[in-house]
Amino acid sequence: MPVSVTPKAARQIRKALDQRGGGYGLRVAVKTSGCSGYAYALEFAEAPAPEDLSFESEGVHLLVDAKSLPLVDGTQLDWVREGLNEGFKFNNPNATANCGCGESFAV
Amino acid sequence: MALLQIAEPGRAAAPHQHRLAVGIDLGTTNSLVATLRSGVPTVLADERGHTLLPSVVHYAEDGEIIVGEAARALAIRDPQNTIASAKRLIGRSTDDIAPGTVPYALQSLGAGAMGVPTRAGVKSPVDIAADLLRSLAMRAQASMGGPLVGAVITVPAYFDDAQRQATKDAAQRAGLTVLRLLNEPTAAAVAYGLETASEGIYAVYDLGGGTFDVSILRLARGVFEVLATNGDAMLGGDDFDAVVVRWFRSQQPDFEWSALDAAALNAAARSAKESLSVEHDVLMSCERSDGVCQRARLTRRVFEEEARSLVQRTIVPLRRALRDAGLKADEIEGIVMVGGATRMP
Repeated sequence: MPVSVTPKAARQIRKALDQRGGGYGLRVAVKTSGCSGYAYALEFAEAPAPEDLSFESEGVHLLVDAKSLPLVDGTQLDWVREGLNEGFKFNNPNATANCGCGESFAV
Repeated sequence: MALLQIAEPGRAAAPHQHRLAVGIDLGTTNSLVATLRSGVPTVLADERGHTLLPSVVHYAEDGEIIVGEAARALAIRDPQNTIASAKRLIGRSTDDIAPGTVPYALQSLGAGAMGVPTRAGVKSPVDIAADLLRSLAMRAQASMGGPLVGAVITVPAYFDDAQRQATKDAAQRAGLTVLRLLNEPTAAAVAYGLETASEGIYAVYDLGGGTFDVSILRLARGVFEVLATNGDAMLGGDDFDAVVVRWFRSQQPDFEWSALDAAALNAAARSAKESLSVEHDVLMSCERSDGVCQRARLTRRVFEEEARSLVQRTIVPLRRALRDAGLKADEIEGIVMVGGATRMP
C-alpha cells in the first residue's frame, strides 16, 4: 500500500467530499519547494489521470501521480487536532528532515 | 509539521504561502499580538524588539495618537490626555462604574455610554481599544509582510454580551475582522495543551498588570466549560511594583520623592522585581531629583515578605470561585498560571 489513511482521516475526507458536493477521491502530491526540498499537497480529485496510481484505503479513493509516488511510498495520512488547530498530518518514513518552519521535508 | 487542508484541484497553497491571521491578547495593562508560524506560536515584536504593548493611548497636541510605551511615559506629564486601562470601562454603562474607582473624569455620551474628555474630543472605551488594536494590527502586518485576514481576540470569561460586542466594535473600528472571541482562561488552558488531557477540573490563575482573574474550568470530551470566575480587578503586577517602591523609599526615609521622580522610581522598581525572577538579589538604584543616586540591595526573601499580604489577597477570590463552583481544592486537577506577574518567584 503506497499511501494509507487512518480511519479518522478517511472519515474527514469523506465528510469534506460530501460538503463539497461530490468528487472521486483525494489526490496526494508532492511539490518541490520550501527550505527543505519537498512539500505535500492535498487536493480533491474528480477522476484519475493517466499517470496516476489509483488505489483505495479505508474506503477512500486515493490518487498519486508517478513523480510523487517514490517520495510518499509508505506514508500514512492522519487527521489530528493540535490546540485549536485541526488538519491532516503525514507520517512519512522517507522524510529524513523537516525544515525549521515545519512546512517542507527532505528525503 | 504544519497541518494540511484539502484544496480544490490546482489550488493547493504553495508552501509558506499563508492566510495571515493573528491572535490578540487585549489586556487591561499590556497587550500582545501573536501568530502561528507553521504550527509554532510566535509573539510579534515592534521595531524596537519589544513584544509587550502597554495598553495606554496618548492624544498629542499635534493630533498624533501615541500608543504603548511612549504613551505610558507621557502619563505623568499629561494625565488628562493619556488613557490607560480602558478595558475596565469597555462595554459598561455609567451606572456600572462606582465613583472614584476610575482616575478619569467620565462624561456621559447618552444612553448609558460614556467617554473620557481629551484634547482630541471625548474618547469612548471603544475608540481607545480601537487605537490599541490598530497599533497591534500594523505591527502584525509589518512583521508578516501582508494584510491580515483577521484576528482572534481574547476577552475575560466574565465579560457580558455588551462588553464582548464593544470589543468587536473596537476591532471593526480598527479595520480588523474578528474571526472569533475566545475566553482568556480557555485560551490559556489550550495553550498548555490541557484539552488533550483527561477530563478534569482546572483552575486558571491569571495575575496580570492590573487585574487578577481566577477561573474554574471543567474539561469534558475535549470541551472547556467555565464553572466559576472571580478575582480582584484592582490587583496586579503594578501593586507589587508599588511594594518595592515603598520599601526603597523606606531605606532613606528623609528624602521627599516628587511626582517626576515617581515615574523613574516606578520603572526601577518594576525592573528590580523582574530581575528577582531570575536572580536571588538585585542592586536597585535610582537617580533622585536632588542629584543623589540612591542604592539598595533587594533580596527575594525581603521582596516575598513585603509582598506577602498581596499574595494572600489572591487566595480569597480563589476560594470564592471554588465555592461558587461547588468544589473543593483537592478536586482541582491542575492550576494554569497566566500573566506576566506569575513569573515572580
